[in-house]
Amino acid sequence: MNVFLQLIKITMSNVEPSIEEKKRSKVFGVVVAILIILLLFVPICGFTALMVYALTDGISTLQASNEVYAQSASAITAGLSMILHIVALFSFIFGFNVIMSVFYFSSDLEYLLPLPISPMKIVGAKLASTMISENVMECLLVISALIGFMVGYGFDPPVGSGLNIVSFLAMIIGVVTFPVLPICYCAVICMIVMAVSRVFKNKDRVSKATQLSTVVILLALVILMQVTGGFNPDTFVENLVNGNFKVFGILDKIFVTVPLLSSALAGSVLSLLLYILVNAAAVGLVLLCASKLYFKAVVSLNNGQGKAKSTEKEYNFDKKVKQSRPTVTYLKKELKILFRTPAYLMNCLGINLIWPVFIYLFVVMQKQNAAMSGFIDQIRNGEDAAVVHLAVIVFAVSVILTSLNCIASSAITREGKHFDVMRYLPFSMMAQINAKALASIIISGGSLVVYITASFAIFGISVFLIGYSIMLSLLAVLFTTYLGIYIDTINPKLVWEDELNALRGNYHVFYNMGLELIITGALCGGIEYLRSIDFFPAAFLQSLLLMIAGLLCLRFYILCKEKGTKNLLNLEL
Amino acid sequence: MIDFKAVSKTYNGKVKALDNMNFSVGEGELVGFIGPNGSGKTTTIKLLSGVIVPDKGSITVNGFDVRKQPLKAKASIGYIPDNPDIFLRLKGIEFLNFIGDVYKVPVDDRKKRIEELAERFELTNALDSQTLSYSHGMRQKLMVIAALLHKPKVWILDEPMTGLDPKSAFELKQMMREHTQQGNSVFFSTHVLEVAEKLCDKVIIIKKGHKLYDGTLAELEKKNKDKNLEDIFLSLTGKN
Repeated sequence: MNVFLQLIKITMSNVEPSIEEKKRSKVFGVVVAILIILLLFVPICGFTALMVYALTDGISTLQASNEVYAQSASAITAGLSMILHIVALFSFIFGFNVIMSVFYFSSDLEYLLPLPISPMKIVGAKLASTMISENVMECLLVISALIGFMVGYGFDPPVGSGLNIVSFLAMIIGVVTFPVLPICYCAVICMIVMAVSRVFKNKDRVSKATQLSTVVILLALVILMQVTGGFNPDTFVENLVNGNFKVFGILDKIFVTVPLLSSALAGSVLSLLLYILVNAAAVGLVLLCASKLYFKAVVSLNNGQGKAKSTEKEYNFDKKVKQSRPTVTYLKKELKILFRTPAYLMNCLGINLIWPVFIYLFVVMQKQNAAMSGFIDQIRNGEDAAVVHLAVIVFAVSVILTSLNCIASSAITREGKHFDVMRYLPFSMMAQINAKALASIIISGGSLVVYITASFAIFGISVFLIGYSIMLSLLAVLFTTYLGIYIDTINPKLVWEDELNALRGNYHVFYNMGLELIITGALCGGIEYLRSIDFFPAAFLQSLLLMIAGLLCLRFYILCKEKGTKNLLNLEL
Repeated sequence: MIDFKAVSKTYNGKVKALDNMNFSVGEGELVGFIGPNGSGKTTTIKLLSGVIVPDKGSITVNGFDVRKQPLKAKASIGYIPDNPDIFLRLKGIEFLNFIGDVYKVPVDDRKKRIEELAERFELTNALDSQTLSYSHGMRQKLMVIAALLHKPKVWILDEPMTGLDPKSAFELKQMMREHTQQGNSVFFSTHVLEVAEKLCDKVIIIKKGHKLYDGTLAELEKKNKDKNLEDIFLSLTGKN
């Protein structure tokens, strides 16, 4: 086989499951795949297609009713461009971590570097494997966006235009190659930074830096959207066509393939040729950088091994040797690993600090929204409908946020290759599960209690409602935690290249999230339905929600105890 | 102290790792477990330590049935796994405290034991560093200290010498000897025939899940006159 293809195969095998996992996961894999498609891909892709269709259709209507807009040929693709920009931006933002991990900190480098293979070939293979393995979702989004556009555009084409063979060709090429430019940007930036900087030679430091920059970029984007455009559904399409969202103007210049692809989809051959040329140039630039910069950086990396600090001082065993109860020590171990591992720090803990900032920004954006202030007034006045809404919101938000941090749904997966430690310690499996659950409850529940207390106190909500909400929120956290752990006991992903892969490549996180959303949706929907028939008092519905939440906790605790422990003991290693 | 009776283990219902295996390790015995790669050594050790369960047969360690009284059996074992890369984000001392807590080692005993073993393996000065920063050998030494912290009667060690420097390997061998001299048992797997030759009271040789030999080295050499241990091993396992 060609060396380049062999290299792609080798670099991709780093993140593939072990033979044991593959065997274990045959049936389970099919079930998970179906659920993921139904719960995750279908809604997201459907929403994307619908959004592009609605925007394209809205623009068509605007063009039909207004001569000024009708003359702008590029206006019709504004909706599609917006979605493609968002996809490209997310691909760029999240690409840094992946590129750093695959290019510089993957275990295959130990074997590849001594081989007589040029850096261009290694980087080329790694770039290709990154594109293949990391962009399934991205391609699905692009396909959805393109379908939405084609339907919106084709069914009601503006005068003198319509779909042609170039559009279909552009669609096929676009789906396959769309991630190229954002990923190439990441690759070039990473290679330059790694070649010139001495700071980023350590995996932990790189991981912290890339994840922190992801948050900063996302925050900057939210703020930029607000400053440059603002969200007003009534004028959104008009603002979009007029180019009032300056952020998209900036993105047009950064991700030049987006306007080119949009234009090619509208039938321009020249744009299609330019689109291909730009992508080819981007790959060429990556390979050029690889030949000049890659080896220089990659040979000076360290993973921290063999750098243990040796202290010459007399070791104080009296101070350092301490005794705790087994559950407490296990909990401490879990928390220390979560806090000290950059990937977990950011994805499992940091997220609990980040979402309040996003919610705050959302509230700031909605500050002039009369409905919101009216709702808060209704809660303050103790109106039945409002307090039930609040209970439902508290429960749903607590479930979503606990599943988002995936502490529970990756509890077993995080053990990775040393999962067998769980088996040989003289400590019962349920006690270990409880200690892991406690870590999730402390972090998720702790942050929710703080945020509920603080925000409700600011809004002047009664102490009773604060107490009730805290109790409900904690039950939601408990239920989500035990369900998450139970799902992870079924078929944990124990083979992963690095800790981030344990979270990103772990479908249990999505599976768990989907299942929790279904249960939460059914429960909250049921409560809201009962409220809507105006028969039951709010206190009854609040109590009912609390009781069902309690029963859910109990159910999933028992499931963990009876089946989860067996799953872990019977898991074929 | 170890009774391994008619044990079979198959992976995924297809790969037979052990087939009706029988052996025992008595009090004061130091037993080497030898076999080519893929012969079932690690499977046997994982069965003994409770990491996996057998399809058939019974395993008793220190009087406790590994399946019926798993926690008691595990608490009486000092186990060193083949991979020392465990909880790398914990500091050495934190890992030892964790193990001490799980095995319920009283703080005074623990202090004395850690001090003594860390000194013996020259690890004291690195105890305050995360084990991520340890070399492979240092991690292996930490595993040895952790396994012996609760003074287990039975030691079960999977390739314990791998990565150890000569002094630490010597210390460990010395400790294994001392341990058996006090009436306890040591069962360890190794690829290094010289180690087995110098250290073991008896050896068990296995191949493809079947026991080929179980007895003293002296008996084995007596049966195969004019052959050294390497030749005997190779002829038994089918290389010659």
